[in-house]
Amino acid sequence: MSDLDLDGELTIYTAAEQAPRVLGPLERTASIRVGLAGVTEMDTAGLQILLAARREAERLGGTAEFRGASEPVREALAIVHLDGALRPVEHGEPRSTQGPA
Amino acid sequence: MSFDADEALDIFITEARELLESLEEGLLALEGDPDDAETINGIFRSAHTLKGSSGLFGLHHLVGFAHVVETLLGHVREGEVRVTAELISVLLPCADHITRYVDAVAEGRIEPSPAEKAEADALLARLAPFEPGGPAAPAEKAEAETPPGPRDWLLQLRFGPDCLRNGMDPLSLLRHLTTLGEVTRVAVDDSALPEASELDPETNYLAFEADLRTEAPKSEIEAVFDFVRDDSDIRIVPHDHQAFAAYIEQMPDRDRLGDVLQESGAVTPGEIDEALRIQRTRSRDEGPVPIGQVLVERGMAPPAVVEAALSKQRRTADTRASDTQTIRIDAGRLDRLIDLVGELVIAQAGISVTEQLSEAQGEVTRLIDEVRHSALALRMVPIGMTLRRFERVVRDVCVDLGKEVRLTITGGDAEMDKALVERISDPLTHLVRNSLDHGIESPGDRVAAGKPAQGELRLNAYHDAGNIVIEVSDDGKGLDRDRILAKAVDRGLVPAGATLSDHEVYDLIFEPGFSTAETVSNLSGRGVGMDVVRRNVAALRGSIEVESVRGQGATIRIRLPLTLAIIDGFLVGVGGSSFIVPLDRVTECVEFPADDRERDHMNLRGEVLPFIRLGQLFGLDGGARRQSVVVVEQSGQRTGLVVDALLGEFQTVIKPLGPLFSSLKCVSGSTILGNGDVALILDVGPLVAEYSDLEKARHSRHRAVPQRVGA
Repeated sequence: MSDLDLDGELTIYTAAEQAPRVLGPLERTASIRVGLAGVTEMDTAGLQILLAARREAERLGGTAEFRGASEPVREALAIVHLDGALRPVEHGEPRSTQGPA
Repeated sequence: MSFDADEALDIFITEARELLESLEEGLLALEGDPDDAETINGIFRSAHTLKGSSGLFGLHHLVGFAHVVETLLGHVREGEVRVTAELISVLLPCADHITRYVDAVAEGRIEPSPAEKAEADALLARLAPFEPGGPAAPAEKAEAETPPGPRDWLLQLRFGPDCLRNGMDPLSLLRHLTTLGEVTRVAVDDSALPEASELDPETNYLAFEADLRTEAPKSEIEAVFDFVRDDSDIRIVPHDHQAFAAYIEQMPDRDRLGDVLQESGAVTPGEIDEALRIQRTRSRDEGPVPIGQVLVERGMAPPAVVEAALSKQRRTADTRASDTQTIRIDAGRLDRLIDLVGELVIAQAGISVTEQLSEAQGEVTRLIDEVRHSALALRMVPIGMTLRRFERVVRDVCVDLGKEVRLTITGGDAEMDKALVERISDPLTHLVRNSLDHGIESPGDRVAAGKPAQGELRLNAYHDAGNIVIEVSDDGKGLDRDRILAKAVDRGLVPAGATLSDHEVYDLIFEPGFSTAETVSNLSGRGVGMDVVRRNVAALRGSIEVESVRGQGATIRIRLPLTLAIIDGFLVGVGGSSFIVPLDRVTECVEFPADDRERDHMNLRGEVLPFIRLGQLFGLDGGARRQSVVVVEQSGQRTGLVVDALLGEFQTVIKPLGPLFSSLKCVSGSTILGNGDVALILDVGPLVAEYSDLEKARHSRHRAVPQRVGA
């Protein structure tokens, strides 16, 4: 299990450098805990890195945990009905999606 | 729906047209008598019924529009709004608008075009000032035009691999969806993500599926994805197939499957275009592919919806075939016909049991004759309906031209074949406009000429010897004989210095390209001239003639057969051949005088009667010992036809000649005789005209001799 705290943008502009930060340690430890408190912005590319980490961990027989999602991250995840830990939100407990579009 | 929607829609359209006619008639009547409570009630009821029944068919545009008209008429009925000429001038175009919309619905176009919407808005804006409570409620209309209720859509979104690099963020597109409605479910499909070592963080591997509940039409949902469409696979499918299938079920008829689907909102125009493109490419490779199949395969429309649209399309084709043959008839006439058929059956049965065969047969013949007559009567409608339409034409033209004209209609009870009524309507309109435009003078000119300022236009119809005659007469300035003649000489239609009878001069106005109007108005003089009128009339086996008195007016007379299908003919024999002369043209038969054999005219009770030797004309060996002359009359001019034998009256079912003989002028058709022989039906008008042309040419080689007699 490796620990990692991401910070700054998690977007298409930073994807090329952020992806190895997450996926690199995962190759060695198969499990990872990712802190998202410092992430200031996230888009589809960022979401994709997180999902890729989770899939990769599962493939390697480990786990990927996501913690402390910042408000921008929660907002982005809410759009695709996922909570801060990237678990599906059941319909009926709507998350705040009224962030600035 | 428990009743047949197509059939019901047909009935609605027929009814709507009748309602509109009575609405228009009512409005015109109201203009003359603004306080007639009965008429006001009538037009209010028409508008009300129209609104009510259009609601049944989901014709929201019509409901919204008719509602405003109805409300206003309601105020008129309550006495809150006064009937003025201005009000009528706005209401009449409203009726026109509805008429056009109903026509569109009849053709299967249920949604108004943008132009129609704009027209409706403009008309409603013109109506608004008449409302006692200020502008007409626009909310009513807006509400009527939005599609009913929210719908559930399934969105399958496979974004292209490069979309992130191109600056398209699927998340922001999904966020935008929430502005259209409620996104009730989103699922992220990350199954396409490769192993970490192969992952390119700037390439998109994600796909999404979302449920969206919105009132927005499909096109609006689609527009959200406009920028990613090219390299993505975006599918927007209605969730509630049943609702769409039911909606398609009650839609008006369409010929094309794509139109049905598009109209229902299940598929967008863009998707149809794409499907058509795919269909084209695939058809090249694998032969024809139905578009429905393409749509289903590409996930653009669910199979249930396509199926509903297909069955709709099939029914459309079926109703289209029978639609034009529908005719509303008087129940009494149908009963009469059924009675007669019953009698016919009884009489027929009598033949086998009675000894008096000939008597029974005579009875059958008589009954068959009556059955034929009443069958024909089924097609007969009074011409009055058509003539009354001209009240509107006259009114509008007068407003345009600043003339005052009173229209008098007589003989509206005269009946004629429905098909004829429809086909004579256009030529008549042209004649009426012509009279108003060129015949009747402006009020100033009329007063100066010592006539009342208000002109008079008369439409008259009457039966005359198996024909129906329709007259359009005005008390205007009449035809200018000299100018017509000058113009004809100018155009090279007649040689300079020719002596022509008044009739011959007036006939010139029917020549192609002939127009004496000094100024081209927007009503007539647009190149569609009197020649077209004459051609239309001739196509109906009719004739047209003009009477005119300088300064006092002109009368144009159209003479038409009552029906196009059967004529009473007079059978004559020439040589070994038989010919049929339309009986209504025959005035009498006389013996061919033995001493006039060499001449081409004879003495008929002191009058000169020119005659045509049919045997000679058609190159037949005739010359029976005793010949007869059939005297025919055409437009007041009598001519004899010399024949070998008179074979009597013969009811003739007209069979058209093949296209090979279409250039034959003197023969209008053929028929088959009891013995199987073919007899040609002579077209008397052209026959006489043609022959006199020939004669003229022959005479002019010697000396011009005035030869037209009578008229």
